[in-house]
Amino acid sequence: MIRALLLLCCLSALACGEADPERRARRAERDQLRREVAGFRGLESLASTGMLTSDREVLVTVSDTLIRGLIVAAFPVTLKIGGGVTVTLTRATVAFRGNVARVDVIGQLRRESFPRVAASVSLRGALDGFAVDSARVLRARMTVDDATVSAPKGVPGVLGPLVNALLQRIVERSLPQLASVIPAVAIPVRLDRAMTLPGFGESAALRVREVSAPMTVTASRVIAFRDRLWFILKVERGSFSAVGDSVSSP
Amino acid sequence: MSRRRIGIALATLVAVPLLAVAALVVYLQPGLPNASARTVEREIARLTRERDSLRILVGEAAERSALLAGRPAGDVLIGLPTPFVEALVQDIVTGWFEDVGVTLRNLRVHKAGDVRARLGILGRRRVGSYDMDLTIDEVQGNLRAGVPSLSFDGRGIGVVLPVRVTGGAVAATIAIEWESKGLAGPVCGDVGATRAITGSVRAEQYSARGRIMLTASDGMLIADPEFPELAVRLFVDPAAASVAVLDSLLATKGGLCGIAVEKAKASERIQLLVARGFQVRIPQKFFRPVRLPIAIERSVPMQSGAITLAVQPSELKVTPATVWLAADVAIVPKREGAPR
Repeated sequence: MIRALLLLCCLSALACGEADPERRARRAERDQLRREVAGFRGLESLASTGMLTSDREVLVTVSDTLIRGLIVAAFPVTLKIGGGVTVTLTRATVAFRGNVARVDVIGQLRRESFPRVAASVSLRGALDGFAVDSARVLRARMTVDDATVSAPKGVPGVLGPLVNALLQRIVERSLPQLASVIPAVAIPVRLDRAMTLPGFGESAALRVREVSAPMTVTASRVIAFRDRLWFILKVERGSFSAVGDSVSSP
Repeated sequence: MSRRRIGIALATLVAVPLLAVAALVVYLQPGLPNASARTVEREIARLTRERDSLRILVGEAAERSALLAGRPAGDVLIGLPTPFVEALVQDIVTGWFEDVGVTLRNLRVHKAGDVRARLGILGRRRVGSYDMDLTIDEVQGNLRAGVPSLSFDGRGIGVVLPVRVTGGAVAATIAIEWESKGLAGPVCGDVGATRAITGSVRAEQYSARGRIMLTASDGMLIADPEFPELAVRLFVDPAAASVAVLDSLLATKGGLCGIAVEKAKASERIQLLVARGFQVRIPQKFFRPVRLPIAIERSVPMQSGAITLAVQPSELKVTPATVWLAADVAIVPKREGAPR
C-alpha cells in the first residue's frame, strides 16, 4: 500500500510538467511545415537548374503505396523502454506532403508489472537519412519528431490524465531509442559496385580481355512530391582494368 | 491501532491531497502563454502560405520538365537520362576497345606470271616467269574506338562509332621462283629465293554503324549491341629494305639476265600483292550484352528477414530525354507462422 502511494506521489510530481497535447500538436505541425517549406525551396532551386545537375546522375522513383507497404511490412516492432514499459509499434501510414515523406506510426504501450497500465501511442516523423549501405541497398531511416500517448487503460478515470502524462514523459525520453528501433526502409533497387564487360576470343582473330570498372553510387538528393519519392543517385565509374587473365571463348 | 495502520493513515493523509492537486494541475494546466501561442500560430499561417505558393511553382516546373515527360507508370521507375546513357555507352565502348588485339596468322597470297621485255631488234620477247608465294606469318594490329554518336528512339539507341585501326607489326615470308625463258634462259638460269619480310599495319579509320537494343529482363536493364556488318581491312606496308633484298638478289645476274630481272620488279609486285589489304570481319558475337549497373530487386533485406516482392516489369521506354525502366511491385505476404 505504501509502495503504491509512493508511486502515485511520483506520478503526481512527474505529471506537473508540460503535457498539453494541443500545444505539442501545434508545435509538431509547425515543425512539419518548416520541413515542407525547406523541402519545397530545395525543389524550387531544382526547377530552375533542372532536376539533375550532372550527367552522372540517375533517377529512381518509388510510389508512396510501395513505400507504405515496405514500412508496414517491417512491423510489428517491440521495444522495452524505461519505467518497465514495453512499446509495440504495429502500423504506419505514409503521406508525401510538400517535399517531405511524413510517416505516422501507431501502436500500444503496456506496463506488465504493478501498476499495470496500457495506452495507445503514436509517433510522428519523416523519412530521412537516405543512403546506400554496404550491401548496395538504398535505405531510408525514419526520424521521429513527436510522440503522443493517449487513451490510457487500467487506471481509474480520475487518474487517467495523470497516468497519461507520466507515460507521455517516459515515451518522450525514449524517442531516440524508439527511432533507432524503427526499421529502415529498403528500396528494391540494386546498385552494382562494378560494371564488367565480358572477355572474348582467346584464339580468334579478335581478342578482348574481360574488363571491370568499379562503381560508386551515392544518394545525392531525395525529393518527395506527387505521391512518389524521387532519389537522385550519383554514379561514379572508375577506370576499366583487366580482370585476371581469363578470356572466355565465344 | 497498530503502527502499520497509523502509517497507512498518515500516508493516505499526505498522498490524497497531493494527488488531488496533481490531477487538478494536469486538468487545468495552462496552455501556451498567449504571446508564445500567437507566435506559433502566426508562423504556422505564414509557413502554410509559403508552402502553398511553392507547391504551385514546383508543380509547374515539373510539368515543363523534359526529363519527366512521357514517363511510364509503375511503382518503381528507374530513369536514366540520355546524357547518362551516352556517358555509359561511351564507357562501354571505350572499355571494350581499350585493349582489342587483332591477330591474323598464316595468310597466304600467291601470284605467278610471265615477264616480257623489249630485246632490241628481236622485239618484245618473254624473258621469264615468276612465281611468288607470300605467307603472312602474323599480322598484329589494334582497334580503338572514338567518341560514339548516339540517337535515342523507340527501344534502341542508334550508334555511329568511329573505329581506328592503329599500327601493328607484320612478319611474312616470301618465296620467289624465277624461271628464265627464251634467250635469257642459258645465261640467266633459274633463280629461287626465300626471304623474311617485315612490315607494319597502316593506320586507317572506319565508321561502324549499329544499334544498342535495350531490353528489360528480370528487373535488369540489358544493353545489347548490334553491329551486323562491321569489318575492317588491315593494310600491310612491307618494309622497303625487306623487299629490296629480293631485287638485289636477282640483280646479281648481269647482261641479258639483268634486263630480265629488272623487268620483273619483284619489290613492286610484292607491293601490289598486299595492296588490297586483308579483310577482318568482326563477328556479331563479339558484342556481348551488357547488364547496366542498376536493377529492380525481387526482395529487400530487413532486420526481421527479407521481404519478397512480386515484380512485374511493365514497360521499357526510351524518350528523347530519358530511358525508363518501369515495374509494378507488390509485397508478397508472409506465410502464417513464417519466422520474422
